[in-house]
Amino acid sequence: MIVNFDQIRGHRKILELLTRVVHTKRLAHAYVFSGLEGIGKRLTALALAKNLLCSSGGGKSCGTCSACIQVARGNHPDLMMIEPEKGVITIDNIRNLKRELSRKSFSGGYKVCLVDDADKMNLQAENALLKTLEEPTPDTVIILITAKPYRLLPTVLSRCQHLKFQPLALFDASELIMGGVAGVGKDDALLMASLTGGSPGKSFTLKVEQLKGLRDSWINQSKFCAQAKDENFFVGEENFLSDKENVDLKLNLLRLWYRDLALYKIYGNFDCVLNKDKAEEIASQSSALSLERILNALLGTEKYSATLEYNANPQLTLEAILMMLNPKRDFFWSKKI
Amino acid sequence: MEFKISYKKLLKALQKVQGIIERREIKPILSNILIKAGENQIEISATNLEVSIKEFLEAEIFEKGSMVLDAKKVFEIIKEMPDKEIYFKKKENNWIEITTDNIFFNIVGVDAKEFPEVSFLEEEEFQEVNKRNIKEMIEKTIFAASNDETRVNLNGVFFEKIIKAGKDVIRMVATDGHRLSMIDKEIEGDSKKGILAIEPLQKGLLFPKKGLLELKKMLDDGLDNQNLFLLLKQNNGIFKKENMMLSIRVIDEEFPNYKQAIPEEIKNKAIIDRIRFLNSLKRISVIAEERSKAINLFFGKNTLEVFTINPVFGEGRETISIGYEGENIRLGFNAGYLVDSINAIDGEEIVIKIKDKDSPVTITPLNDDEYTCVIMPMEIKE
Repeated sequence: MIVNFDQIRGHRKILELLTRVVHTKRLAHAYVFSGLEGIGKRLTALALAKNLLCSSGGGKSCGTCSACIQVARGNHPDLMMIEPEKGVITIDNIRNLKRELSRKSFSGGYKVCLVDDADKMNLQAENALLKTLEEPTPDTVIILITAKPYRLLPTVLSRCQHLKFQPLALFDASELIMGGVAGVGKDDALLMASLTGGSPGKSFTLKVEQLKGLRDSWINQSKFCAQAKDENFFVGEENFLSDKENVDLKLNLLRLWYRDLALYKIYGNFDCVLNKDKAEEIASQSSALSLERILNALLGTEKYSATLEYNANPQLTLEAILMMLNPKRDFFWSKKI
Repeated sequence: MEFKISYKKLLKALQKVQGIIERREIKPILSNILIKAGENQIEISATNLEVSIKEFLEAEIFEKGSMVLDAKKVFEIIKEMPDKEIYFKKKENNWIEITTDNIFFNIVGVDAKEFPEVSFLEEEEFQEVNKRNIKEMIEKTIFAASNDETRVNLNGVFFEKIIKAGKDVIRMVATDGHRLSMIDKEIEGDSKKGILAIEPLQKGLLFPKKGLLELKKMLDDGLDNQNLFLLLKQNNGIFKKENMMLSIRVIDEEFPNYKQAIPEEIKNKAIIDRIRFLNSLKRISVIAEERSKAINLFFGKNTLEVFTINPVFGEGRETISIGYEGENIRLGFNAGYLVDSINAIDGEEIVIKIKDKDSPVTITPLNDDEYTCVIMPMEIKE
């Protein structure tokens, strides 16, 4: 489904800018849309394409003309879309794109080209794109969509106007989640939104039950660690550590948990707490730990989850975090991060 | 929509549009055709985005409208039907009913709005042009266009308006970097309306080779004195005759400054019998090196020696008498290029103008300044 600008949540400044440039026909020839996955970059790019290609003119798509319908079904002759095949965009994909761009527009207006997951371009592909980005044919708009703009070559980035999409506000994201996933309550939606850092797109892939199951094992775990009876650092099932799926999710759940503990410790109420259904547990655990310990756990989790980005072993990372959480293993608690 | 049409007409039209449709398309809609029913005829459209084709057929229309359906399937269905009237009807949700006799098909169609149709505005006027001239001009230039896909700006024929001897003419020129072929002609038809005033022609339009081959096919079909109408726009050219329309998308790249490549004021001039020379080239090039087809031409006083030496096969040599008064000179050529351009000339005699062994030569018909071919010689090892 493709929507119009005014139906897109958040990103107010970016949408204002795009509306203005479409209206005044002063578009940059290439844009990079960067930001977290699942927050509406592609949606915005498609809405922009629709506005540019609509045959009613005037810079706002009507949604009913054949151009708008063709864009919505991916059949518009002047809209090209490139996506990774088997996880990579190759030089052949880019050559095809260049061949398409070498002809004048089919319908006489703009030519719009979307490269989704642009960071998946390999080096050759990126270099092949350089010349097109530098000397584009007239009335051509190339939009590179990526969650990892730092993976793009600086030479590519510098040839494009870079629009940075911010994560959605939790409220906006949670409403979108409630609309997109059936049977999710307000509290659960807020929890999912904050777990994914304000990305409805990512939330749509989550299951509430699975989420709660994982969270509950962390709660047990942190309870166990807080009591710190001995040097054992793990209660629970073996595959909680060895399961390579959802490691990001697990760490985010843990982070949120300690966030709630810290907030309760400071304010003494549940207003800002996200795991509202576990109020009792929050109260008991946070009274058992000092604020310093809670904050240290939070920072430690943060630090370890950053290592995953650089291909750290997920199981070892989880184990390291668990050891860190156990105060009996004071090699960690004695140090400040 | 609802219409009835004769089997033979429909089959012929469907067969024609099949050629346009590419099988490996990214956009699924392109494997479909669009059928539009108007007053008393239907239009069948197909496109591969570079070339779009439209066939007009007489039919008995019961209700106007348009439908989009899979090109290959509908062709195969119709092909196997008996030679009778075929009845089409579009129903709800784009279902399409095809019936004849006791045969009944109910086919899944697509929303007609999804089909990328070439459109032009009511007020845009088609210009009548001389069909035979256009056909000739394409035939005499297209062979020189490059097939190298990395040099998109040479993959076509450049159309341009120029003023020659006080007259407005259309020039078509194509080059692949080694040779160039160029022809100037007046192409206005009877209407004498201003095709030459067309805005995009002033700057020139570069049409892709593939599209022009389709156009040539269309021009080959039917009588030469039929009329051809064209509408040249910034982004495409639309060519129309009474039962067919073809649209070709323009290449959005700069055609090189070809005028630089055409040498002027050359004193060494050879006048050669065209057929004699052509036959000689064909004979001698049989043993020329396969890939480069390299042959040597030695111009002496009123003689031309055509010869080639191939270390694998041996050598071949032929002497022709020509009209030549210039200095003795030896040149290397790709025989294929020479044959192509000499084939494109109609007259009995041709003129070859030579500056020196490293400069391009021009080949023109004698007493005719419409057609020019420029060929770069090859370096020859002594």
